[in-house]
Amino acid sequence: MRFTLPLLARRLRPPVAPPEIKVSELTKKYANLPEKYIEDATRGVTYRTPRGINYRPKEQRTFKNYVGLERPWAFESENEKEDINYSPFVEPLRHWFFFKGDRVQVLVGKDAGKQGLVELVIPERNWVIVGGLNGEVESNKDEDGYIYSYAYTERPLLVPSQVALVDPGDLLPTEVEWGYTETGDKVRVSVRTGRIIPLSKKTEETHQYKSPANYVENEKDTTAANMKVTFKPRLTTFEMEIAEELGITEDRIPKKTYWY
Amino acid sequence: MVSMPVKYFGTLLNAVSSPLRSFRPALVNAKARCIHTSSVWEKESVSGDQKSTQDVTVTTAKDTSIAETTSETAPTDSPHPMDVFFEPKDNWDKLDIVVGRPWAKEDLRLKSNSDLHKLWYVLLKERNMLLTMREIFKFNIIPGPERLYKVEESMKNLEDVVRERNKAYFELETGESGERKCKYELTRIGLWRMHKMEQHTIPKRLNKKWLEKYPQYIEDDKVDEFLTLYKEKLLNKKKRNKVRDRMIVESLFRRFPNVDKQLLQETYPELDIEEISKSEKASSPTVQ
Repeated sequence: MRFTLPLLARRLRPPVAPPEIKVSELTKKYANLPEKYIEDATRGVTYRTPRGINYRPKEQRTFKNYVGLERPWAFESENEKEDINYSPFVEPLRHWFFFKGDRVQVLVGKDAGKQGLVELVIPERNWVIVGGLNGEVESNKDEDGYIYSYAYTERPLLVPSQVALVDPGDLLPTEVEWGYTETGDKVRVSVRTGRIIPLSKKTEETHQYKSPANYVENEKDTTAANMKVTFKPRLTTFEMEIAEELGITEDRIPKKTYWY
Repeated sequence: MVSMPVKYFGTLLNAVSSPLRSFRPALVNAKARCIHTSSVWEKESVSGDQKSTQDVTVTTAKDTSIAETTSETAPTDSPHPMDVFFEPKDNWDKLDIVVGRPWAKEDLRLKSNSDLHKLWYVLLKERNMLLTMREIFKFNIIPGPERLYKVEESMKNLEDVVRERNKAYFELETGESGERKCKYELTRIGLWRMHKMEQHTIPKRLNKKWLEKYPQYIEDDKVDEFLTLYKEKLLNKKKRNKVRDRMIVESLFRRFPNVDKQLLQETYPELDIEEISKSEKASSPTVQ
């Protein structure tokens, strides 16, 4: 009997893997990069089979369904590390209320009850990092064990439970919902007092510049002066108009053809 | 553009940083990296190499008379015509090159046909330059790797706008869009396939080569057998996916007991979420 027992034992099914993480629209807006580039960079595609009927559509990639504190398209990010075989479950949320530069109250931990400004938002994990709060002091050591510096690093806070937005009227944490003004703008409204919570200017910030006014134009960029309307509607196709300009005349009579 | 004609190197590809893997460094929360610290040394080495190459060219010019004449006639400061195919020299030292957004369709609709014709060749030259730079930076970090994607996006938008204008003309004149036609066809195995129609000089029934390439559907016992097995396979896959979704929802309930049930019902319409929320697996306090 004891020899057959291991055979009879039911094999445990491996734990189910969570669905694949998608890069949220907030990070895409912050990136200010083409969507296809972000897709390729997050997946870390090293090789893709060429197009053709003799190839199976397949790709070699390094993405391990993990998004951490670093940006997903970052060079040598945590996605490429071999140690991470952990893929997290993320609570699906219908609405997102937290943006960069918001005043926020911490509800959990040793800094509970304190208020701070949001520095970083990671909607892929429902994370928010508040500046100067909920952190740990880490010591950087030498090879000989000699401590040469200390660093304070903020730890992320989970959105629905561990952190709350602050009402600008009475500076107390509130529940928030999306609403519309008379002009049709989408705004955040606090449920308790009905006051509008405005967005800060830091939401305009992207990976490359703080605000669009600060952007320095490159040599190859087209300026606003060059964007004049030159289109005049005419009853011709694109090819006909170009041929007219270049002085090409088409006199040949096409042969009869079959489409199938 | 991603599919490069690279031979299969096996596991070696993971060790090498190909252009696709050489992504922009993260400025936010980025730790100090060795690449940034070594930038000063790189600049010095580059300038040293340039000097050495210049010396080499001078010594060779003395040996041959033809080279001397060319060096005298050509002014040293004027740009070489072949420089267009490479990155401008000001960008050589930069680790990151920031450029604007790609051409959107709304911008391109303002421009006339001749302007679009010129812009196409500007973009084509830029893409050609970026592809050569990608080949040069094959085993290194290319600065501004998203430029190629931006150029390709704007080229695609330009093509779409041209197609839009041609479509308007043909629909007004002939009542049809002047585009290549497509239709669904039954293959020999009994599966539907999207067929893009092509132009031929002879009709279909006489074209033996074409009929060999695309064999027509014939009623057959073996085809029916294949189709039943194929449908069974698809159904099994569907069932397995349903079980997997159920397990995902259970684990979500275990971790987050206050999760939005309506949203889960919308994302997984085949499952009964309320029934799952009352089950034992969803309510167990231990996290897997």
